[in-house]
Amino acid sequence: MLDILHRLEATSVGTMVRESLYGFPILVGIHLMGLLFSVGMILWFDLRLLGLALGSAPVSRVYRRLIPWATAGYVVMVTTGAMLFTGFASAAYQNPFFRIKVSALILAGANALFYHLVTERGRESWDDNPVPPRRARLAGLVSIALWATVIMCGRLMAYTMY
Amino acid sequence: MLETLQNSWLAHAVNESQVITASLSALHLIGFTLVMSSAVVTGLRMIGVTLLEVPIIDVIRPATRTMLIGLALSASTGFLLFVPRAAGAAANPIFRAKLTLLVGALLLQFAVTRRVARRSAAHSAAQRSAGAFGLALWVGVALAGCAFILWE
Repeated sequence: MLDILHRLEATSVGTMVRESLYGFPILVGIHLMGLLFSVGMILWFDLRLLGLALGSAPVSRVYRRLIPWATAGYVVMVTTGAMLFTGFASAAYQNPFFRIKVSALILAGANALFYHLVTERGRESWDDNPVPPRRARLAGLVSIALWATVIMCGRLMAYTMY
Repeated sequence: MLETLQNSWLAHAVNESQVITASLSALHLIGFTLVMSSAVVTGLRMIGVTLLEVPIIDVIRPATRTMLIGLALSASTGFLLFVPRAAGAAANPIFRAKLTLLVGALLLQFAVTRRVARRSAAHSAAQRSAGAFGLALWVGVALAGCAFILWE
């Protein structure tokens, strides 16, 4: 595995991330903006699920309005994140906070999938409710906790990797 | 005064522990994410590109609440991170730019946005301008904060 990661680091993208004067800071800046837009919008959908905000609009409509923005931010965040990873692949792979971050990202995806496949069934009966049922509120709470973990681990990586 | 602050026991306590510094930095980012999240949803609603079926005031009210929670967290942790490097940070042009943009963004958010949302017609030029300008200021704060960490 480490051999593959070292080869990844030797690619032109990996070298640019490590050695370019502006490459790394620009990528980190774009990565941060992607994260803030993506998590920022997901947070408002989660707050709607928790019944804490935007209660005058149906859950499905809030989802339709916010998720395109969250998706755009997510694409930017993942693309720049992958490029940053290329520059320090072996160090990141061995970093415990990186592993927790990736696990939390996967769990956040699984939580979203579970919401769409299971929790959302019969949504028509509670779509307009200012406070959705407990299972939907739980999905929102889990999502917030997982994204907070992703953000904190991302920041902690900077103190334990380089 | 900044030298005194920088030589205080608090500065030494923060500076000598990487665990404390890293934890403060992580919490600072969590707080700032709450702030930015509120700024983004308010800005996009004011510009008129999302949540059009929700009255503006129903977006601004919870967004302001969330922003205040985020500000409390990011300002308190930000102050603790500032203390050990007070003199250097205060002289840093990027840090100064960040604070200037922050003051502008806060003034706009708390003094102008609410008033414009209440008084002007829906989707008016005033609403769109306030939303776009506010969003630009907050993006500036985020990028200046990022640049300060990387080039300090």
